[in-house]
Amino acid sequence: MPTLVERDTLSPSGEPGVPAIDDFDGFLAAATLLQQPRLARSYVYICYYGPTTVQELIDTLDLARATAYDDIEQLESLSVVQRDESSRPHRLTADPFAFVDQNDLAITPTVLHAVALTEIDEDLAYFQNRYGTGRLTRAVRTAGRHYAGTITQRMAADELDVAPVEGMAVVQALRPALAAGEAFDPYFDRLFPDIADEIDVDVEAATQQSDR
Amino acid sequence: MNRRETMSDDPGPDDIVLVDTNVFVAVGDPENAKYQSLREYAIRRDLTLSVPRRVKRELSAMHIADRVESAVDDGWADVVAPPSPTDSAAVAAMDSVRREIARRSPKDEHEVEKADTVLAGLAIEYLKCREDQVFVLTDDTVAAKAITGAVKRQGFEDEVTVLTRDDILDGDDLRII
Repeated sequence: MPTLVERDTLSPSGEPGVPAIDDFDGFLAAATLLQQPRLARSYVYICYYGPTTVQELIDTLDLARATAYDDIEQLESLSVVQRDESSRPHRLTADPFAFVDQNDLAITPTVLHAVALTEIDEDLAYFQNRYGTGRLTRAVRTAGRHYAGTITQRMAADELDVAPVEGMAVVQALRPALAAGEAFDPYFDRLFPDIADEIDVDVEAATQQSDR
Repeated sequence: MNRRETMSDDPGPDDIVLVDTNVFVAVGDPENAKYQSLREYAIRRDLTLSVPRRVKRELSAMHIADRVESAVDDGWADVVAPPSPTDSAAVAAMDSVRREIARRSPKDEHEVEKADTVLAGLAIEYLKCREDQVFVLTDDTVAAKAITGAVKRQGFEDEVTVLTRDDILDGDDLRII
């Protein structure tokens, strides 16, 4: 890591259409984060606002101390977070990574952030519970098109094959992920080819949120 | 002509304020601070928000129609059952919204949701029945732009005003992570 894999590029043998995931451990780590929103939340926080410390993570994300230490350990074993033990307190850092193609595969910090938000946002928790993580990750790209000015919230709902009100709720609830992604995700323009510069969510993400 | 001398960007007690579904999505449950801001906005101006019946029906798909019921019980909203717009200017405005949304999107005109166009038609329909100013309140900036353009093209830019989130909620205390 960092890793950027284009699945639509040719494989080494030159066969078209063969997945070319050359960092399989990285891909498994990404999949693990997608399935564990709390882990994803810590990873994205460190990635966007690091270097940081465990204490800051506990304070800002309202985590229990034991939980935070367990999660950091797991993030380290997945090789997505590094702990610098030469400093006191230990400094935590995380590199951004992405798996993106032109079709449905899109895992970048912005997408992991969307999954992470299910921990703190009722509408996103509802959407993920009802339609699954795959549809939630699709919703990130759809929401981007709304904030780029090309589709209405109702059209977004139609695209996602959900009720109008559910589409409105998910599009609105994804604003923090899009705002922070625009500011900190180096792969943001890969997630939104052609429209990344047009996306305007009118949210300030440059400074981290203080604890509630 | 009993129309007021100067039209305001701020709705008053005599004005119709049509509210779209996404506003009740945006403000959250009645105990939420944003919902309270909407309530204060309405009460401070002595408004009764007009909530089309369809809006309440759409909200019920996520079991959040109580957000409307609570506003009705509290006296600052009414559920209204407007007919489909039939006035020619109203229908023209809806067509105009549809074309404008389609122009900005990769979709065809027939793929534009009727519900996104109907508020523009209703606003003009209301103007035909009453001499008041009509406001449309929506959280959808894409729809808002299209409605604003459409009513302007139909010559109603002074009578129909589109309000969005920024006009009614001061600041957005949004948790980023």
